[in-house]
Amino acid sequence: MRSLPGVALVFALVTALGVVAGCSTNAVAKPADEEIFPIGSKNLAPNTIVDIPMSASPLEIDKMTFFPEGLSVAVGDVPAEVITQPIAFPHSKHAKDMGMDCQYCHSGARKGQHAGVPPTQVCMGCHNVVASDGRPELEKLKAFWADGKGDPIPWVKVHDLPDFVYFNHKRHVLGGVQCQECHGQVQEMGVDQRVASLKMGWCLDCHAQHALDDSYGTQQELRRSELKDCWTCHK
Amino acid sequence: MDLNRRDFLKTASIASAATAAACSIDPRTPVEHYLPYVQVPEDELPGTATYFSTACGECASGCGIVARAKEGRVVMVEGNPDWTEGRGLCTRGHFAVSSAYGPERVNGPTRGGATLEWDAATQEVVAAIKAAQSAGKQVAWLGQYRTGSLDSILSDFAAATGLRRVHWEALGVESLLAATRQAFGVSTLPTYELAGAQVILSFGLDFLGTAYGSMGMMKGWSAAKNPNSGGFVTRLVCVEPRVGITSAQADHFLPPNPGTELAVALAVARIAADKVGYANAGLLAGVDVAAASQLSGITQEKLSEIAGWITEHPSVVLPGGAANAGTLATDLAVVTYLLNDICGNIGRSVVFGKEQSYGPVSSYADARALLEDARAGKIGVLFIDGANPVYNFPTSDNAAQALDAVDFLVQFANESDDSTRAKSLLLPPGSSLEHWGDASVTTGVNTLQQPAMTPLKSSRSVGDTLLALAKAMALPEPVARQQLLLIPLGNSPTADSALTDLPPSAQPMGFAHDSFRLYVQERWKRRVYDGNGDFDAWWTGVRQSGGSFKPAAGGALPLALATTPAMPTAIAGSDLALVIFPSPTLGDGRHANRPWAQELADPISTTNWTSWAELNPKTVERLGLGVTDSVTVKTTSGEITLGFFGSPGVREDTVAVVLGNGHENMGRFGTGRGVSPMKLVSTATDSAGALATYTARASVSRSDATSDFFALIGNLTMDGRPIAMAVSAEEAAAHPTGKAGEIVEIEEVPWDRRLEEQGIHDFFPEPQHPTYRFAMAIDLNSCTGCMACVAACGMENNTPFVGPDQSRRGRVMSWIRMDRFMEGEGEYVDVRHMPSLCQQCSHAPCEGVCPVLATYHNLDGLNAMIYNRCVGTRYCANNCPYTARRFNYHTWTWPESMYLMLNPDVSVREMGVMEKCTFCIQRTRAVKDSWRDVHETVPDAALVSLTACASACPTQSITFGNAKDASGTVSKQFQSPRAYTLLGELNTKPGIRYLAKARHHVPAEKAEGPGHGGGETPAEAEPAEHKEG
Repeated sequence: MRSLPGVALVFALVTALGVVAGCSTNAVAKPADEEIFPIGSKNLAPNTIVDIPMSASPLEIDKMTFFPEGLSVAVGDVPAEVITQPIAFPHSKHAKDMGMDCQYCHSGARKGQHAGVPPTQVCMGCHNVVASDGRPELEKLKAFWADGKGDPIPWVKVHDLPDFVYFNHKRHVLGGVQCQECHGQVQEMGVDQRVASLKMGWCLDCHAQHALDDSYGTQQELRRSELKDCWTCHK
Repeated sequence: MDLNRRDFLKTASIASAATAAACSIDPRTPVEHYLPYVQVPEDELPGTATYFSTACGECASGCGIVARAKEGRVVMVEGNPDWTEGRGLCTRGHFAVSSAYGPERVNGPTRGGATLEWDAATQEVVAAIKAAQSAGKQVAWLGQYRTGSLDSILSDFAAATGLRRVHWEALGVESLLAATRQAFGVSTLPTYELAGAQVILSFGLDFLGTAYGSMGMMKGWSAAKNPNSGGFVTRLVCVEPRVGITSAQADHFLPPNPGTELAVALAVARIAADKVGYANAGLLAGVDVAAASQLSGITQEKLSEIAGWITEHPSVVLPGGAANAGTLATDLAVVTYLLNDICGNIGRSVVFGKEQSYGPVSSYADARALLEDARAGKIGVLFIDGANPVYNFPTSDNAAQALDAVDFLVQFANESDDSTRAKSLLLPPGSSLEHWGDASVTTGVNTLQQPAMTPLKSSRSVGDTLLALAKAMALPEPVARQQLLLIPLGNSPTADSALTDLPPSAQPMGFAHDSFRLYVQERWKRRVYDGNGDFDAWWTGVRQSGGSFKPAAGGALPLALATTPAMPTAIAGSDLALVIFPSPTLGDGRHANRPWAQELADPISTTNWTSWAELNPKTVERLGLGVTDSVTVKTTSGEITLGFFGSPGVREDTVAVVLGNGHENMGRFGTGRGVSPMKLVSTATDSAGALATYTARASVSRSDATSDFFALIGNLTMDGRPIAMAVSAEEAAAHPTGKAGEIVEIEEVPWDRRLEEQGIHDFFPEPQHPTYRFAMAIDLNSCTGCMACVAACGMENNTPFVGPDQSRRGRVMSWIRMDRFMEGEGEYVDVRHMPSLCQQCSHAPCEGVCPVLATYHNLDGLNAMIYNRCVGTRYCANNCPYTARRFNYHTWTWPESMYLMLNPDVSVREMGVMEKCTFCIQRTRAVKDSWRDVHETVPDAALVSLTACASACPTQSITFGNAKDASGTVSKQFQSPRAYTLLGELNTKPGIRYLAKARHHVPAEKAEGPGHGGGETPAEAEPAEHKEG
């Protein structure tokens, strides 16, 4: 049985390659040139976004799309499976075509810990007056609303941090971090897909190197140290 | 087989790593859903807490609380800083959260496990009332004290239906009320203002524990004990049979011969009256001081000394409460009023005008008469509201049999208890966090109870049920109340008097309101609202602040005593006198199904989840008891067998048994724990009809049964080490302000003298704290060991309750431990409590030994603990000199519904992980976050009561803050002459400083600073004579 390690290794490589081949890519298209989000006007990595070959692994996509040179990417990646939602919500339609601000719907982002998924009420604020005839996704929405008495829409969590992590949207938004830096070019997506690994190293890369906003003045270095304190994020 | 296990694992891990790198679908991450609101409630922001000012419903005091709700569920309650007594909340108040999520809560009206519709249940009750009325039987009510709107609606309901109301509680105030009636002719209780009292003489009132009004008295106690506030340290003299949570603070603990407290009171009164030349000294002419001294066993010199203290200083004399419930309890309370009058305390520290009322108060005799009528078949319908007669009555009363004889039983209870019979109809009133209500105890102080979350289970408040009953019965609206106006003769042609309607504020409210919420609102409009401005705006303000807090001005009443009580006789017999005392956490037993109430260790015996008897160590020796033995306590009424605790705070001729456990049916947490002392109690009463539990002698003998008693704090003594330090009160008062180190030594001691010679004091480099050094000061002087901090910490930080078996394996998970030391004996028995938690050391012994850097010192001075980095070596816990760390031996679980009470801001830890106090990192992080928005450092005021323990402390002994802020509260406390660091000689540089307790009569050797171990060799120290099970 001397050959067993070799067999196992071969098996492992074959498995790994098979999985890679089976992985669907979360290809993200090139963003529009115009600025869509007034709050997100200083994108960290606009120049590094490239057309991504369909054969690229998620790891490469991650590296290529969202990190300028010099930033390392933590091991660990985006999910392979395309996430489907109970309603195929087209972000591009809302955020790009209609130019809606992210925070019109995700209104908690600047105010609190969670950006929040909008209550059905917010959807219906507009869709009350949008024709839904022959548009099945909108029919679904109206069924969920049911005159305010329906069930909550069971959205699938795309960005699901572990329960032991404290993440505060407010701090990041007020600190000048762009939505797209973590969430990708959502305005180009249909149903939102995760593009970042959300692993600790990925968070720390930013905490170590992301430009700080000007308010810290002489305290920049201190703030940088604080950002690398475990208890900044672990709870 | 050349492939060994190691190789295989290596290869396999490469395989899985390759797979993972190629495409990471973390198999541990389940798909989670995000369910947004359909329609979002006002001001709801997911992840951000909503705070509701409301009233506590755990007892009739109705203290102001703030409930913190996250995503629609209350996860924490704290004291309402707007309330009259300010921040802080008693231990039992914290159980409101676990009562709301009780796993046994019934869902809607229930009988024998079957659920009914509310309408059907209402109709059944109505039919039963009508049947009772037509059969000539009574409709009766047996319940807890009720004030405010519920009392009001009950009055109207009683007037319309002939309801017989009995409001009786086992730890009730009936004898105190009877005494006030005798002495002052009023049916309310005075408020005791302890703040300015330099001497407190207590005849058993548990004013730091289970007594009604304790929150206010604890605030006063805190001020009276603080040498900085008045330049004095109050002297507490306790005349009662057992050292309990209040008498543990006594400077003079004087237990007289059993049953002769009244003799002490009379003798002190006589001497005091002579000293001050009391106008009504004739009242006491018949008191023979020598005979009283002989009877009580307290020397005449001591009696004179007490009389001297209370007459020469501002003082207060507190009447006997539940801890001193003899057949002469009312008489004793009368004499305490006389004593207060002699000392000129009426109107100064014993205040009328701003007085306390608990609604209609019935005596045990009234309640017993009700049950006797029930037994005789005279009661057709009995409503039970928060009372538990089967548990709280003496077992010989056989209350269960009386309840069975009632035709129709209605019980307002969320869970079945001892008093639930097979035919009982349970109408769940819900949690006080779910429904509207109010409380009005102190004159001018009204607390509003408003829902802080939607009801977890189908429930209706008692008020709503009464409204529904009144509507279903079509009860007539009560007639308007009128008053007789006397018109001087000759001024009216037709009559010399006329009837006019009383103003609306005095009119009955009726039953027309659609809900109890509207009833409460209308009542407040009539009774509380002062008519200035817009009512709606005022009502909004009331709902924001949690009530209307305008305490009336205090005043005096003339003492109107015609005679004084006669001298008592000691409790006859040669056995041990029996004392029944309430558990500080379980109260009269109503909290027994609250897991936290059971888990918290008793502050004196430090056991949990069971009952125990307390015996003097000499009695233990005399009876030849071993640590694992049980004792059988036997009176003429019955006998019980239970474990024992050898407490130096009990007389040799006394046995004390705890009340609160021993339930036959009290849910999964309360059933079958310990034994009920009510088996030992006879039906004797005092003159007010209050149950007298301190009247009998009991024979105590060794039993062969195995004891389940176990002291979680195994050691009674400090073994000569300066741990919970005390200084003399005189010295503390002489240094109201000053520098650290003036009284007790504070210096950290260099650990190596060779290094000291080189000028090096530390092995480790000093950690940098650029902005914050979070720190805490704990004043042992005002700390009463009440356990509120422990309760609050558990709620806030999701520490699990582990149950009796695991507790006894030393696996209690609570992050604060209430250390208890009990040294000395007799008058100067010296009890010290010390909240013991992670000291957040700058040179933490735990940090250096962690092999994976799961614990480290952070920039804010905190000793951080990263759970998912921890691999569970437990080196840190072994190396912690403060035993502050807790290891998860299991993945602890909660009953299903109790997961809702977990704080989402704090991780729930699992098996194999070390944990400890974090200084409430989630709170410090949140407050730093809000001040970062304005680019400012968090100010002192936002930090001082930030942590759960500091916020909960009723005496504000715990202060939190930033030690870098030199003007902050904590920095000032750190510079107190009484400040010291615990085990300072280890040079751990803790972030916590304790302030030594100031005690009158500190034995000389105990007043020394931490020093260097005192110089004695351990061999010289007395071996600890401690019995534990």
